[in-house]
Amino acid sequence: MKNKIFSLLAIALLLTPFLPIPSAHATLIETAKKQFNPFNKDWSDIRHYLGDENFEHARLILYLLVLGIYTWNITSDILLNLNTYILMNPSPMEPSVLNVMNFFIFNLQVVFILAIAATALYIVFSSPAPKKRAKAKSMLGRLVMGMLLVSISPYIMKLFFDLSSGMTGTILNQADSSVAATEYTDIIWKLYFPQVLIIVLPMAGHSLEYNAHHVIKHELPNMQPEYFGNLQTGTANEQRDLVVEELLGQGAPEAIIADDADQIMNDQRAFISSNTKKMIQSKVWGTIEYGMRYMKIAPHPEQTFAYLMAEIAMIFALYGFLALRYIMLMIWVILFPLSLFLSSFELTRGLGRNMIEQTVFWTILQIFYAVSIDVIAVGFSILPKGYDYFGVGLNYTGGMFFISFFSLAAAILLMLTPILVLMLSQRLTQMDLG
Amino acid sequence: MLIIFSLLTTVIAITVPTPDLSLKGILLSKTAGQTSWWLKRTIYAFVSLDYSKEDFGFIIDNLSDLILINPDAKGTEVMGGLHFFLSLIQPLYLLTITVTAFYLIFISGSPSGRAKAKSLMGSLILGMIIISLSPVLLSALANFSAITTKAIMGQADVSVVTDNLQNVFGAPENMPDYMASHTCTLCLMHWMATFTEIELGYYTFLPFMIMIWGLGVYFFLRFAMITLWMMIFPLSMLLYSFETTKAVGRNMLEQTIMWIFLQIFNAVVIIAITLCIIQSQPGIMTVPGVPAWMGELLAIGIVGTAAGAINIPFIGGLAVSPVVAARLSSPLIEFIPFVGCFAMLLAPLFIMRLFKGFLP
Repeated sequence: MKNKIFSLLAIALLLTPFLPIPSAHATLIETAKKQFNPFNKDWSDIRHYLGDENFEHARLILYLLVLGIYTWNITSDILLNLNTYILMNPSPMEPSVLNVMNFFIFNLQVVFILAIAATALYIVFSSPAPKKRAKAKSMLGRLVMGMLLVSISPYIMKLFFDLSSGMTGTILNQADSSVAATEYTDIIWKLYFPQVLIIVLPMAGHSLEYNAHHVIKHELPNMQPEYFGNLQTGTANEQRDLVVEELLGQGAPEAIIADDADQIMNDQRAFISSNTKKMIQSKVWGTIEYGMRYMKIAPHPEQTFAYLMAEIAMIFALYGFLALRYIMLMIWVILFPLSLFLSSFELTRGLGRNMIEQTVFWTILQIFYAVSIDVIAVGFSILPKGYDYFGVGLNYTGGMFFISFFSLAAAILLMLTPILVLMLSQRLTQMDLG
Repeated sequence: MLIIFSLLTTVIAITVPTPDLSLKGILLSKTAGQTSWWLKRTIYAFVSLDYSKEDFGFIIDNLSDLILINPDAKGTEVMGGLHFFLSLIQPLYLLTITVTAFYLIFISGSPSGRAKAKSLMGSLILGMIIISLSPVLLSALANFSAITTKAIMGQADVSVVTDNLQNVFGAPENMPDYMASHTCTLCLMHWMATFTEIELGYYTFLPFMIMIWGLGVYFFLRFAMITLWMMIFPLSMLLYSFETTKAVGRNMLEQTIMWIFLQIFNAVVIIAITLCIIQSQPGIMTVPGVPAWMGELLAIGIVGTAAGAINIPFIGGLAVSPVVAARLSSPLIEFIPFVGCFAMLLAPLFIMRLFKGFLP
């Protein structure tokens, strides 16, 4: 139980974006010792750490950490396995799949046999017009061919899948296929980093307020009275600088406190009185609080929603569509014998053709994914130098907050490949090649 | 357990007058603001999940039956509406047949007009026979569809899909009972989103509504649509008989047949999802969880920070942090089963769209 408490304290201290306040009267180590001393009866510092403002900060830091871990896992998976997922096809020869296909095959064979028998009887025993006899004969041929194809439909599907995955593999080997995955995952990370920035930067500003609050509430009462001696004798500037340095530490935004400090310094009588410390505490803290509130420094996680939604959309557009392709392909594999059956009859030929078109579309989608990946790889390799500097964001931060237009276009191409193929297949259908 | 602790803290925070720096003071001194923050989000997450998953158990337990359910074409409900339309349409048919026969016998029209009238006569007589037998015909269609669906669903184990639905939306098996219904994949995302920012929690509530309520609405909608199309089947046949209204009649007949046979597509989709889950190798398209040691620390950190914020030193959190740790360490999303759940709702409608215009 004790270990878990200490672990929690360690996490809370590590995850909050500020450290114990260094002051002139306590080193960092002394302050840290005070924080972690379980026998220290003054629990107010720890309560400040875990409550109020720091609860917000700790919660948001934990959220960013967990989101970062999941982003890392997803991007690693994309970098390692994108080609595998594109090449993934269901196996029609798998016993479980074959079992379901055989259910359809056996039932359709019975219907085929009945249809063949009926057509043969019609040709042999009735005397129809020559046109109708010719039609019946061609139908007989189609029925026999259809029955043969339905019987070997699992092998046809396997052959088709092998052909498609072979072509896809060959296309993927033509260029460096890791470029597309790298660019895609880079965009995902570049949607994550601004979320960190939007949340952590205001936290740092909020920490500044906390610094001042902590010093004024806890450090100032412990300061020796003679420390304020200079306030009585020094110049106005020296007095102001001393207050700023003592109350806010180095690097403080002096502009916030300077004007009011000037005003306070003008009233030197207040500093001579025994209520000096209390006066500084209430006036200066009130000024800081007023200033910080006016500046509205606080993290707003809702400002990261756009980036979060974009990140999730990118992940689902790739993973989700590849998973959907696998599932749809499995549906059409199961229905392939039925597609062939429906194509054998004049009445249902349109229906059968639609089903076969869908089977072909979902299968060759992987070829178009491979082509997109190669296009991205080749495009980036021939991109003239300097063109990669056009984009959105800050380019001089090592690329962490910069998305180049070409990277964005590459990611969008990869996301929209299925839509492009769908539009192409619809256009081909309208041209009525069959 | 979390809600009990939150309620307890609120009561104590309100009743205790003045905080002090002793251990008791630290335990009891949390302000109502922080406690209400915690309480609001906990209550929202609990209530939203329980509300959206209210009938999930019923759907999961009866998935096969819900897919197989068809209205009885010979039952009193459907027959009532059917008889009403039959009583309207049959006299119309008789009148049209009489007029056409009168035209053929007594009026010397052009050869093309007479040919048209003859073919119209044939389709009218056929239509009249069909609508007179419509209860038997519709019942036969529904039975054929149900038998085929049952045979298809018997080809694979449907419990693979229902278990998968439990993992994504319901209560995973490997979680302790008291937290099980809140530790599924989407539940974890919902909890994380709610405590990050409550507005985000409103969006993570939507997948439950869409999927669970969508499934329920879908099954009811199919039942209602089949009942409707069965009742107006005579009208569809009448409109299909005439050249001018053939397009409208064709659409109506297509809708009748497609809604009845939609259950076959449902069965095919479920079998396909089952086969995909069985065939896909472990780890394929899976977002893994955090490492186990990190899961433990994060769980303590998440729960301890929240507990610390309301100054209950980790006691309430210890009961749930192992569950939170186990959940954070297990895979977050397995994409193929996850997408399969949504495909179960959308794929039949997508396939139906393809089958438009199959009638001549």
